[in-house]
Amino acid sequence: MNGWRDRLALDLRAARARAFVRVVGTLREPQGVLLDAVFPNLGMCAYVLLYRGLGAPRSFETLAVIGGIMTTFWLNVLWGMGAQLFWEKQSGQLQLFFAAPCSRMAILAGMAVGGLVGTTLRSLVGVALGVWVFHVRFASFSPGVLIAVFLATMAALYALGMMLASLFLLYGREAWHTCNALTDPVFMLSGLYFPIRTLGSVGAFAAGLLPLALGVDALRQVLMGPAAHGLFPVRYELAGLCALAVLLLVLARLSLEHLERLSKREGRLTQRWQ
Amino acid sequence: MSLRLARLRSVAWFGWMVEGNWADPVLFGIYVVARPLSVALILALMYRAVRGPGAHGVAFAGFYVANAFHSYVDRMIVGMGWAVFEEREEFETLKYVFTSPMGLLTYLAGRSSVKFTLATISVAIMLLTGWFALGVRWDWARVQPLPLALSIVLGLVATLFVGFLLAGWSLVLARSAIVVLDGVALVLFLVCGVIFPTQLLPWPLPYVALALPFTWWYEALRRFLLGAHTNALLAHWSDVAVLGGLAATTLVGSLLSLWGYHALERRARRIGRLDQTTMF
Amino acid sequence: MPSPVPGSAPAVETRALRRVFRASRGAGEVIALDGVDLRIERGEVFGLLGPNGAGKTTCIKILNTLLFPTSGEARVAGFDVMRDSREIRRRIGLVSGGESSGYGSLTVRECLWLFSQFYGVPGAIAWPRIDELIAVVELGEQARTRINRLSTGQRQRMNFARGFVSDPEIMFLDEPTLGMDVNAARRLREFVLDWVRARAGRTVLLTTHYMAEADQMCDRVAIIDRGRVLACDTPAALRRSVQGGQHVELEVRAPDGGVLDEVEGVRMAWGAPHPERGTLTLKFLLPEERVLGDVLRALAGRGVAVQGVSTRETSLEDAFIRIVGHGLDDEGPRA
Repeated sequence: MNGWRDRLALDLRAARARAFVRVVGTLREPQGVLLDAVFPNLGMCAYVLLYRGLGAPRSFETLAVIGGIMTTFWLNVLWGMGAQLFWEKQSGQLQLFFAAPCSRMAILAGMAVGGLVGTTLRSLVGVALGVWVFHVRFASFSPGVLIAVFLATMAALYALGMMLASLFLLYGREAWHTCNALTDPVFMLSGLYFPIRTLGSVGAFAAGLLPLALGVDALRQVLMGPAAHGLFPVRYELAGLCALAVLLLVLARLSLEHLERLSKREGRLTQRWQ
Repeated sequence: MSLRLARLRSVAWFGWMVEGNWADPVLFGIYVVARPLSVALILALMYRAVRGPGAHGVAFAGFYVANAFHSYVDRMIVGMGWAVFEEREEFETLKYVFTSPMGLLTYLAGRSSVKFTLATISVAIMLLTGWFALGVRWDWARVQPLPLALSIVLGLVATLFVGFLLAGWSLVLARSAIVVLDGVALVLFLVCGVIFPTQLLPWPLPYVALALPFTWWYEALRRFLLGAHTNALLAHWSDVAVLGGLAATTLVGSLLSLWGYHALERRARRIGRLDQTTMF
Repeated sequence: MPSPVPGSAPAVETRALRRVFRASRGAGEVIALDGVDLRIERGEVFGLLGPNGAGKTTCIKILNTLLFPTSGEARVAGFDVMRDSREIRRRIGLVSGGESSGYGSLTVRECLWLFSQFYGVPGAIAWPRIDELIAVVELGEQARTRINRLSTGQRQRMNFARGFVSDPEIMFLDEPTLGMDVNAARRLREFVLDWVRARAGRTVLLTTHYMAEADQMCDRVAIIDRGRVLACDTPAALRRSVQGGQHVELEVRAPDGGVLDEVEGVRMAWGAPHPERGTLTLKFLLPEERVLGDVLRALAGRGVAVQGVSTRETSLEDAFIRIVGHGLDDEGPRA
């Protein structure tokens, strides 16, 4: 193997192969897809009906629908990315990944791309619910801006997932439960079901740190206009998401390298019960 | 009886080791506190977003209290399903538990005791947060302690038995149990009027909800703690009738759940699921 | 150590290799490897034989770059395991026995393809190789079956095939036939030997619990126990090193096997009772200068009835027991 071209080719093959596993897994388990798609949206339905019970303006229902759709992606980032290497270790496959010559980041990138494709398909159920059952309405929007904001949000989220993958491995069950414990706090701090402005200065701070908060707020502003009660202008949030994506990718790589070094020193990499 | 109690105690101890041994006490404390607090705050912030800051009235308090007690449903019902799944998939010891003289039901009852304790802590945290930080208060003079205590007991009995049913379902499900278990909690969250009046649900769901003990439970809690009515379908029912409805649905639900558990257990034995791992 | 010359460096070389595990929560430390020196030449099938906890798997993990050594050096294909992980990984394959892992929603072919991509094998090469390997492990009928529908044994065979899909220079087989049925294990051993001979320079490091496997397959065997290599030679040389008599087994009707301790020249006496027959099996090494008839006469003199007699040559297991001091599954010498 000579030079960066060969290494790049190897890493692209590995990423493609790992993405294939994800996509195939999604398409070959239709009942799983249905369950994955339907159940998470029930929470969204509850919050939409809560707003209806409060007599809130219809824009709040739209807001809750968008938040509910983003919940699907966040859960995939958390459990489909963050926990995935942990599961690989439990199933005995992790050592095979680490003994392979391809880059570990390539494998994680493949997982991210595959997860994103599968989750996007599942999120369409939330869109369908919102549009056809709850009749939410969107303001006129630029598809180009929407795609840019969506992709930037996904880049930041899945980069965070790649970083979490290392942390899960590093801290084992503690990280698992920690993330479990942080699911609802992240929902709250990200303003998934209410305008993040409601959190006040805490909200602004959280939005700066959490890609989910920034992404949800930006997507709402694109789709709802002023009714979204956005925190920052969309262009600033888009720039913030791009910066977060880069930062989190770098952190993901550093934490993965640190993890590998530490695991090889302490012998934890292939210990199932660690 | 003493043997059964001894078994229950040993399983409860084991359940504590499983639930609590993954972190130091501080981190575990955060885990126990952070989740219920966040759930409470999401509800409060949604109200605040619509109605503005300040006290939100009895309706908010009613849904807040129901949301707090829904922690039992979340932890115990879903938790028992997870216990079975964990035993089979992660520890691979389900077959040993199942074939032991103790049996799976006793085992589940023992494991549920820990989940009950953790859920109680969550409920307490949410109610205290509501009282001191979010204006969720009640007039102690209007609280009806005996009916309240009775309704809490009945609700917990319903939770325990529906938990057995979900555990039985877990015996039969493969890896889709991961999604189904959480989905059941969400279905109950949606249908039982936890955070909004059930009359907002599309027909016939409001009437379907009346078949579930939890719908009556949340209504009973609101009446006997807050003196509030939120379910329009039950508005003309007296307090005694609501308590009776809770008791009746708990009895029927518990019997059906027990029957359902045994039927699902038999099915699991027929399809050989008890000692399979399905996480591939 | 000097820089590697491609192709001329030994396949594996370790010097004073040491690995210490520190247990959590102050429970002390475990010395898994305690100064292991190994040199495996290219083209060898080299066996690492030892009881549970001897350090075999730890050694393999270090050589696979999954684990750092605590001290000492280890090189694979001339590359240092600490500094040149990437170079090593391009050249090695790993099969861990007893593994039944895999992605359930993929078919056997797809799973093998997946791992071929981690090694950069182009599709035009990967697919024919995959089909060959599937035939070797006799999963032809299951080639397009999803892994979650395979039996445990079938998944194990699939994992065996997975290790060879990248056609490595150096193959690490960590108890590869563990849990397999006799026929499947035999076929896989034959495949490994054919694979090594098919191209010069292919090397196998095999850890195993099965004496016969090591005896049959390995050019050389290192016996390891408690993190130390106690002996390293060809199986024949190891057998010769402990030979000094004939192995005899007698089935006798006697209450006390200790009667044989009194027979002059008898070096080992083992007793395994057969309560259903009321007999006792006695194994011992009869020195070359002694005669079996003396032992039989001594037993007859004590009224012990001999029901059966069998003799055999020194086996690798005998050598192992002599060198290690106990059997593969024993914790210590058997009385």
